[in-house]
Amino acid sequence: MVPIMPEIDIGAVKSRRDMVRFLDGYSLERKEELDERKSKRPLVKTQLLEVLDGSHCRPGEDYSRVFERRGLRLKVIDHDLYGVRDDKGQSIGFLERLSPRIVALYSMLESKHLTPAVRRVVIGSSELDWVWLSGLTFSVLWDLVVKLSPPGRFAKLVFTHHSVYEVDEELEEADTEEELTEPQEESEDTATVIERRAARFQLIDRIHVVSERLGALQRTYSPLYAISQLRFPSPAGRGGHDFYENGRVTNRSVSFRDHRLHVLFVSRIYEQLLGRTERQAWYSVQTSLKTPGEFRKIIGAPLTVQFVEPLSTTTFEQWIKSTFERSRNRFRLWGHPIRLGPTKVHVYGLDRHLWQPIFLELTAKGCLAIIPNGTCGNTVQRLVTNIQRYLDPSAKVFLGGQRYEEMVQEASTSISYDSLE
Amino acid sequence: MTALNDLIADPLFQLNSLLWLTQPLPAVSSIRPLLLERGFVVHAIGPLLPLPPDIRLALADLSIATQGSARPDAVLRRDRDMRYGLVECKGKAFGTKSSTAAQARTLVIAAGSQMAEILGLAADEVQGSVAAYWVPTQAGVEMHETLGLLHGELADAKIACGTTCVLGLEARKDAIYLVPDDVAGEFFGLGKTPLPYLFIEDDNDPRPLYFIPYDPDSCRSPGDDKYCKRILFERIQATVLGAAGRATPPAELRFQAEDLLNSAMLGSYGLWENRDSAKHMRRLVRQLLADLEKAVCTEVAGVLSYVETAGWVLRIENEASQERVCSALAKYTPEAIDLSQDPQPGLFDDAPDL
Repeated sequence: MVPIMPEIDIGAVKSRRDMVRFLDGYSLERKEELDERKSKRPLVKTQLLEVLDGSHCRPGEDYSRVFERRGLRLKVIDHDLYGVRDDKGQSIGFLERLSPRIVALYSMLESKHLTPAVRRVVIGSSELDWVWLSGLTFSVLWDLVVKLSPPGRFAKLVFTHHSVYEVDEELEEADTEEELTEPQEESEDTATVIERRAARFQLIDRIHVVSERLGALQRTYSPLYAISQLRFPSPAGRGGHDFYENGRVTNRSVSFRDHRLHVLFVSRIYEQLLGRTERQAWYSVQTSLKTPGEFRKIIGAPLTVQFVEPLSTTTFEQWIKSTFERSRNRFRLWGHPIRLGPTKVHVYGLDRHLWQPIFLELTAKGCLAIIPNGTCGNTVQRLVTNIQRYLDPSAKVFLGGQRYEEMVQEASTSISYDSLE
Repeated sequence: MTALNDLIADPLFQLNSLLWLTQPLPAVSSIRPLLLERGFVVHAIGPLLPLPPDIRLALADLSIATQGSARPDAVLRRDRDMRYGLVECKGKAFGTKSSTAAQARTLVIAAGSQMAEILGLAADEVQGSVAAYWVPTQAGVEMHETLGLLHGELADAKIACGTTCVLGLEARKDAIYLVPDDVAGEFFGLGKTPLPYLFIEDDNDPRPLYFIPYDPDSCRSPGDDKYCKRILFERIQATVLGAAGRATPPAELRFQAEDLLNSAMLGSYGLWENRDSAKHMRRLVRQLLADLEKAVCTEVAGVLSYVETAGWVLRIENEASQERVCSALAKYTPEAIDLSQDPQPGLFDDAPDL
């Protein structure tokens, strides 16, 4: 049997330092192979995941039990660092707890093996979710790339938008979940002809060129707002760190230490964003401090998404039907739509992945969501990511009266140097 | 337009509208938060406001019907000039001899010079107050007259009372409008012209998402009552399904009526002091769960049952059974229940939490 991952003796890695040293050396070798166009072994990849306890958005004390329930075996290596094997004893990689809610799985598995392995772990678990980086979040991260990198370095951005709810009368596609990750090339012989908007671009150019022109391009062609992948150039040399919208990060640099620093940086921005989303959005009826038990008021702020290009009635209808009549739908929502007209429904439903409540008003012009207290901020990030990817790439998002991008910007500026290891 | 006129006369629609008028929303929203834009926020929802003993003593000697305390639907507050507005939602106007007049007199008194004490604040923390009635514009003139008469009665009896005003609601083709009278226009900073706040798009029903989905005490048309009951049931079903989905098998989940109602109503169920209403709400929960039990147990026998000492118990043995239970719970729809019928009184009506 061909080894899925270069077998390493996890037992030989006794500390975080050992792991970093090992992955540093491995990354350097792979980068040299890449430069010589003879890469034989997979690159180091990181999968960022959020861990919840399912009811209070707080991770449980014992991580290993969460992963064991999903068929992974964790062995403590160091403080907040584990070796990970699957239920057959095959090495998967290392799992590091980066912050109270975010973990990173570092792996040398090939994408075609890592992607389904992670999917198996996450998809049936209400305690684990992918980290969701929406196009709007990426647009703020892009600004950081511009600030952090010399203007002459090369940037790489990928834009993905599929108007899957535009009905092609020739073809009614089943709305099944798909993983937002590196796309598989479709065979020229088997590719189906689908007539509806689908856009996927890869843009590689010098940072100053992209920076000067991206805004104008986006205003001209809205799918360019749907950034689905972004490279942070590495200051340690050529290449960089490719972040995908589902929290996958591929190390295409010579340094694993630099890779880990970028992973830490983005995960902390994300955790800040989750915290801010929850603090602002969570709706509850709270008791006044002055007269407890008597004066109650509503606390919270709704999430508003405005479609810049309103949906046609048929697209709206298809979106509602696909989302609420199929249990495995892209938005992972459950509920019974209450019809309030041709292009308006109310849903008092659930995020079907995390099993937490969400109340939605969906119309052809946008979406309004009430997030009850306790529902995880990840629900919001996933909703925004999916809206940009499948409905309107240029959608404008607000939490209360504040623009979502401003929140991401604030989250990114609140990361202090001493919080980075 | 008839349906819209019924809608704006529904006190639950009015209360939820009022709450949306104070929510932070962007300019692109189909709801314009007119009151928040003018600095007003919700100070309290449905607070119990007892009158001070001195006023109650003064009233005891008079033959004017009042209540010892009253519960307005909401109290609004503006911090910059310390204004407080007691807001009561009514589907129609009422006369001075109606039973509602006693509550109205109490609110008119509460909005007077002793408002700060009644709200539990220091005297200088209230610089302006009003009792506002939120009614459809068709009822505005009659409401205005009634409030004037009640105010006059109390003033003649030397009982200090507050200013009153009327906030009208009007359904037009493009939006639901807020139509303040002169006093409301000045107090809330709304001016004198009708202001649209809930826009009607593509011939859709303009009602917003409901924060408070159900109130057995308010009168509604049968259609609106059915609608509100459905929202309540959807939310309770979501609570049960969510708990089942999050559980780590093997697990035994217990559901009690009060917890389910509080979860479905963002914690506001605890406000009901009316025992009959609370009983009615618990009966609704039992109606739904009994139906849910039938639906789920057809798929996975015996997993959901009522236990007298524990409430409803859902047993999840393993992951496979969890998947089947969740699938059965998800498939069920409260639309199957005849929502136009109220549940019959039952054996456990007086059990406090079951």
